[in-house]
Amino acid sequence: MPSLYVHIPFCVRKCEYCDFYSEAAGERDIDRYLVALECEFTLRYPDGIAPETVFLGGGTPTRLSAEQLRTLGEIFKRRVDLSRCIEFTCEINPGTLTPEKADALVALGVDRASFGVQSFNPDFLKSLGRIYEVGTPPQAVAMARAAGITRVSMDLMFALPGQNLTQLRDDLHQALSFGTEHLSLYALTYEDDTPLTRDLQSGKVQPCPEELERAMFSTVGDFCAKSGLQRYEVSNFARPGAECRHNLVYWRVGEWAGLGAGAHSMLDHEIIENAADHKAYADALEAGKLPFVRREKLTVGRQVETLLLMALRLDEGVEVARLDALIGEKFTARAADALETLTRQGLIECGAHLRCTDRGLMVLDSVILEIACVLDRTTALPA
Amino acid sequence: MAEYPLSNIRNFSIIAHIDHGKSTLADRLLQSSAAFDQRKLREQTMDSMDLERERGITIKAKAIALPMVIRGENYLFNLIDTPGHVDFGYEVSRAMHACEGALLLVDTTQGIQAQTVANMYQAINADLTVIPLANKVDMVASRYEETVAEMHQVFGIKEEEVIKCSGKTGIGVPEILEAIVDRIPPPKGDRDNPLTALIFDAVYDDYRGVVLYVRIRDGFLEPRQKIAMMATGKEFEVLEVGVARMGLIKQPVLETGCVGYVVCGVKSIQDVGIGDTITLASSKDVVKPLPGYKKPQPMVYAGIYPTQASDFENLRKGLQKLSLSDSSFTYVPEQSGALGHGFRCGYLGLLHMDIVQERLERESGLELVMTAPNVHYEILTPKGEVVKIERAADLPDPSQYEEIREPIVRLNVITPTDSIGDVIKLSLERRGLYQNQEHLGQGRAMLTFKMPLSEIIFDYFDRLKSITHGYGTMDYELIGFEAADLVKVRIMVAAEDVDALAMIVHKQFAESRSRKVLIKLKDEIPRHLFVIALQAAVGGKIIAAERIGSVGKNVTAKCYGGDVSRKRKLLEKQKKGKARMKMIGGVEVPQEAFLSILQVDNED
Ligand SMILES: Nc1nc2c(ncn2[C@@H]2O[C@H](COP(=O)(O)OP(=O)(O)OP(=O)(O)O)[C@@H](O)[C@H]2O)c(=O)[nH]1
Ligand code: SF4
Ligand SMILES: [Mg+2]
Repeated sequence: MPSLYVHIPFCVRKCEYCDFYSEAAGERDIDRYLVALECEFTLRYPDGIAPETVFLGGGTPTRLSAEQLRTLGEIFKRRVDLSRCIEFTCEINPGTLTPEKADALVALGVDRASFGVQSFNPDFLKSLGRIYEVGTPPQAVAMARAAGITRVSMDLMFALPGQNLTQLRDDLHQALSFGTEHLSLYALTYEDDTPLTRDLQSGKVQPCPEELERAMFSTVGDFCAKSGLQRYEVSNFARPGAECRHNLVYWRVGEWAGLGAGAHSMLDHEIIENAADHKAYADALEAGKLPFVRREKLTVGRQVETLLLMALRLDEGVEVARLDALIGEKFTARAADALETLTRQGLIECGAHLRCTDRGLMVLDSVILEIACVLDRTTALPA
Repeated sequence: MAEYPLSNIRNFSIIAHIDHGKSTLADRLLQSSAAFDQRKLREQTMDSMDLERERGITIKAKAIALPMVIRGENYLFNLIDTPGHVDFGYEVSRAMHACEGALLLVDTTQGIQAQTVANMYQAINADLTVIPLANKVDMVASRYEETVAEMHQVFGIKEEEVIKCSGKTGIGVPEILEAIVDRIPPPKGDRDNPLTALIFDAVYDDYRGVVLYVRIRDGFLEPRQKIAMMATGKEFEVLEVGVARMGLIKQPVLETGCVGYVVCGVKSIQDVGIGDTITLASSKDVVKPLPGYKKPQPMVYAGIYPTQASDFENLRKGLQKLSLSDSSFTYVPEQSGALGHGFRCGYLGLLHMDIVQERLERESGLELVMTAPNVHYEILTPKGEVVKIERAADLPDPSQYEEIREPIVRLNVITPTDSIGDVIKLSLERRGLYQNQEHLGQGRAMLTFKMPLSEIIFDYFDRLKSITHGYGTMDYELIGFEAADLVKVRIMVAAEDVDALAMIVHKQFAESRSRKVLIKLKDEIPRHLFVIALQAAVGGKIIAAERIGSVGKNVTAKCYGGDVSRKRKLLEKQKKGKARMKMIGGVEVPQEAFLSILQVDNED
């Protein structure tokens, strides 16, 4: 059975850096959305679904009221069999959690909380447009723990405009002070058409100098390692055994069903994309139709590329045998040109697994591009 | 068209410095014509090409025939509007061969400028009667008296000869018309002599094929005549004759003294000897050719390459088509290690180059890469042969030649006197040799230098404009080739020669100019996974070097909720970008790098 992702496309208000589809919406929109969501479950999985991992993401799932979260819990009870589930994560925006909501989450089945903290520094919180105060995250963690959510992960951002290494270390230090088992540490990305990017273009904010960003990339690795968290993906760190099982399904390109507005699924080498707009999404389902806006059956070539794109992000890399099986030929022979050069440059290692070195991870996009271009040249893959 | 006796025909061209108002005045004269159709009037009738209208400049000389009624009598004016820009000087000189007179315009807001001087001397050499016009007197900035004084001082023109006019408002136009009748002599010639006609231009017309513009000296031209081109000996049958005026107007016959066109089945404009004489096939052994005029030689050369290698044939077709209507540029196939297959094109100057390239891109829809322009050189081999070198990459090792020579021009600059010092300094820096200075009054002077052409095409004009605050103008003419201390600079990317970037420069500039090219490359070539060395070398010696550091960080931080398409789209985009790169020594060099070298803004 595939893993399950459920998307809640609502936020209290839009953050400055975010280009993710989410929307400030009224209570009635949300109620309507939850009904539609159940319709999608019914249409796609009339016999229910029994995922090994569940991820409730957004947007801001905790933007839902306790009442609405309980409604969601009812839906899950009716539609999802959690008997085989080994991990159920919910993204939590610290500013939106209440003890009542925490209880509702636990009732829903959540056993792992991923807190979108981003920074503990009040100035950065403000410049990123986050909605809470400095004291909020600790309270939120305490609430979650009190409700019985034992596994805690935190998201932080670095390479923020004006941020220095000391401030970064300070953030890391605070993040780990909660007995956190897992950290997602993202370098700030300037996405197109976000307020932050416009400020960057107009010169209102100065981007983090590249040298510093590289230093930060190494710093977060070292800092986490010293605290017993290993980098197992470009931006993810965990105590041994505490890796996010759900996200590993993505990176290893397994199968997942994404439900809700804007969610993506990968089922039997097919990408299925739902309507991003929650109204369009609800409209479709109310009319008894699936909310799909795009389906793409991946060709072998695209499967290979997707696998490289995802799995090379992992410390473990990708199993060469799996690539061989996909291509139907020796991958290492086909990509020899690129592999030799990249190995010589100290960016990759290639044994039973093809994986990036620390330096390679830092320039992963270029590494993948090199390999993909060589494969295009040497391999005529079946369509 | 009614028949005009020779005594009632006037052939003249309009000459002036660029933008002094030639085409505007020609439009005015056209409107004064008895045959003028008010309904067909549009702005810039003379500048009929799109590119001319957009740029507001004349590129091709144009002949028009105007029936006129002056003081109650019928006249035929054959007027040739000429371009003012230095690159098209040859258009002016060949127009003059078809005329007895010239209207010399001087913009009174600007006074005499460099091309005014060049054109005036050409007119005098061609024995033309010159009618001096002080133009744009309607403008507030007009300085009529000073301009007249200047014309007197520089050309010895008497004040009473000058007509005060405005092509825009029509002031002085009646006086101009009368002066044309009174001062310009009618053409001489004899209808009963065997035909001689000078070909002074040729254009390609989609319906008629090649159309030759001719000036009849003796005899007449009419359809079905068997004619011969005297230089080539080729024979043709006349299919159509006529005159030009807002389009071509067919006539039964072109009479002695007239200017008009002839269509006679010539296939390609490249086959036309402009300056050649047409006569009757039957009399080709008895008449003497008219004093001819040499085809202009290209002054600058540059490579043109298609962005997509598969467009090479389309590029060839585009060039072929363009050469139908412009016989003054040359093109031969060439090959470059860096750019693949393309053509080396010869142009009359930088503006001409610009125009050809723009027309090519526009008319053929091709995406092109152009190399930096260069002049051509001559080398003297140990055996005493002179070999022409049209691109730097072709220059052999210095041991293979005795000397290398470069084209030298005489350069006239007109400048406000307070910039004289700066102009001299700039010209000397650019290896100019100061020769003469003449004061024009009104705080202006004309300076003359001998100067390597390569320095002029490098950036001289832009620099001149900037140091004279826009007031400086220049004109140059080729006077020969001279030996100089020139070296070939090779540009290397990751230790590999980039032939398209090689350049021939004077030893003293080798280092500074190489450095600029390297810095430009550094800006344009994206960082790679490895460090890239950029080097410039003369012979085996590195004279400048730069490096491009390797990619520092390049990884998408976040991968959103199972959305893999987003990353794949990014990869597709990167793959496309990579496909457009030229590979040099394992380095991907974007096409833009070559273009931007062209735009090295050359502050020494
Ligand atoms: N005020 C005023 N403007 C004029 C007059 N004659 C020309 N102009 C303007 O001067 C500019 C140049 O005029 P053109 O007639 O195109 O000049 P040209 O000499 O044919 O230019 P080239 O062919 O490029 O050498 C245009 O903007 C005209 O409108 C005039 O008598 N008075
Ligand atoms: S809370 Fe998350 S999804 Fe919502 S706007 Fe902020 S960053 Fe985007
Ligand atoms: Mg003009």
